Amino acid sequence: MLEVRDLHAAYGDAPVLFGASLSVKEGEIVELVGSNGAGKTTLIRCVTGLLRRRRGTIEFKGDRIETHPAHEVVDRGIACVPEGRQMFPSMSVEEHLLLGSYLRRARSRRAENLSRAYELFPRLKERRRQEAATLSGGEQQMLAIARALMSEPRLLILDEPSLGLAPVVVGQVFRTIAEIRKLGMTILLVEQNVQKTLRMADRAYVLESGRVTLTGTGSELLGNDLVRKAYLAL
Amino acid sequence: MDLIGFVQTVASGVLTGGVYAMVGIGLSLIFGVMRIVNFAHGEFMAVGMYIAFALFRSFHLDPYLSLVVVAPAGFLLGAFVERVLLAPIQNAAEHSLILMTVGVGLILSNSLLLIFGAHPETIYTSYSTRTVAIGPVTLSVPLLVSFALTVIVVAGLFLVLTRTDLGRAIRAAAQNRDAAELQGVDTRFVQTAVFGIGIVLSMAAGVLLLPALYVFPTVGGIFTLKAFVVTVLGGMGSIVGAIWGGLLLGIVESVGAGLGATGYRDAFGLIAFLLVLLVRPQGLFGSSHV
Repeated sequence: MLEVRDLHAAYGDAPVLFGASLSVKEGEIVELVGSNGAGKTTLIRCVTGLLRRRRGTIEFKGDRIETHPAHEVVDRGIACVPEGRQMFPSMSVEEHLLLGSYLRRARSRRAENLSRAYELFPRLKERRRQEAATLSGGEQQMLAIARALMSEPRLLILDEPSLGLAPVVVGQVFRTIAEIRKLGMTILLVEQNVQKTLRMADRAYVLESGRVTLTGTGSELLGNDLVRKAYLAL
Repeated sequence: MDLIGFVQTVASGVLTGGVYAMVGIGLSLIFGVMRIVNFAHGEFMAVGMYIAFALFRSFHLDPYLSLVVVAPAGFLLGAFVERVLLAPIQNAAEHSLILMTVGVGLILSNSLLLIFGAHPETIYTSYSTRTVAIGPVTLSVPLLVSFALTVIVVAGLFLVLTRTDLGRAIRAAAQNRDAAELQGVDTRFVQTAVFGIGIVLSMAAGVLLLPALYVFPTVGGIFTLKAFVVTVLGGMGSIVGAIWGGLLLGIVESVGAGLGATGYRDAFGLIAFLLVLLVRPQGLFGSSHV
């Protein structure tokens, strides 16, 4: 479904990715692991169209998308829950969800999707008139996920959804992701919290200094000595 | 000044201030979404005044009716300037954008000079000097009509910003551009639309002030300054702030002029501006969110 090949990217003169490749097949949950500065978020920004890649190709459902602007990538069916949640601070919860279904193709089923989102996240329904800036970190993360689902994506990308959240809330977020997965969603998950998420992943990639250095099924990587040393501190 | 005189002065200040607010909202909206201070804002207003003036001279079209022509013309002119002159340098240093808008302003005012000449012009309608009495207070009819139209336009803008997909897209782009793109918002298009809307507001304000003001090619300069004062008073990027900023500026100018110093009308506004900045540098409503 998603095929990234030999991706090179840079911020100004500072190169970040040096030929990273990965693929996500329909129905899979694929995890991207790597330490800070390895290039995970840069790779996601290239896939979603927020950053122009220098070299390489990105294919989604057979079409090349590496030169598409971000709003067209969403339209093709890739929704992203960005790192740091990226709220619109003075807009209400409900306005976030309405924006999530801004695309013309998602507007016709807006009402259905809205009630489905509130079913999945009852907490958001209670707070629907509240401004995003007044929500807790966990609530903001739930809102970011619900907002992304409003565009009826085929592939959901989550960039470090557990970042900066209390351990209890992290558990909730991961349970939610598992639930969404059960609904048949294809997921690309970027995480540092490897211990809790690798078990859930069909396959995983380890990104180091802008290159994929290791790949395998989730449990293979959990058993890999290098991964255990580097990410689980065992 | 007795009490009735004071009420009278404040009331006419409010009426003028409403139109100032409209100019300021345009500037604030553009700043909120694009982070550009449009130094040609007043010059666009002068263009609006001259279009209405020319339509009145040539076709005896009522200035208020000419809004039907000025509003779409303003949107097209604004969208054109944004697409052709601002978009190509949007990632350049901030001073490049400032110089570009200053340059646009110079071209606009000098074009007006070339076409209409330097002498001040005015229009005379049947209601230009008409007044209505509300109790002991008399108010100018053209200023009342202008204020009423301003209220309608601003209320309409509010509805668009809070109730429509385009409005939510504009606010989202102002608050977090990347996140807006990730929801499928074409933020490039939003910027063009916002600049167009901002210019419509400025040019429409010019039309509304035409029955009450002389028009000359460099009339825009002082209004760029006033728009800037209104926006900074209210907090850059805040639309509600621009409304209060506009009313405050209108009242201060009116009261100042009423105290017997008509020639120093503009100075009173600027003094109030400096005082507010000394106490609250972030503006009265310091928020940068649309």
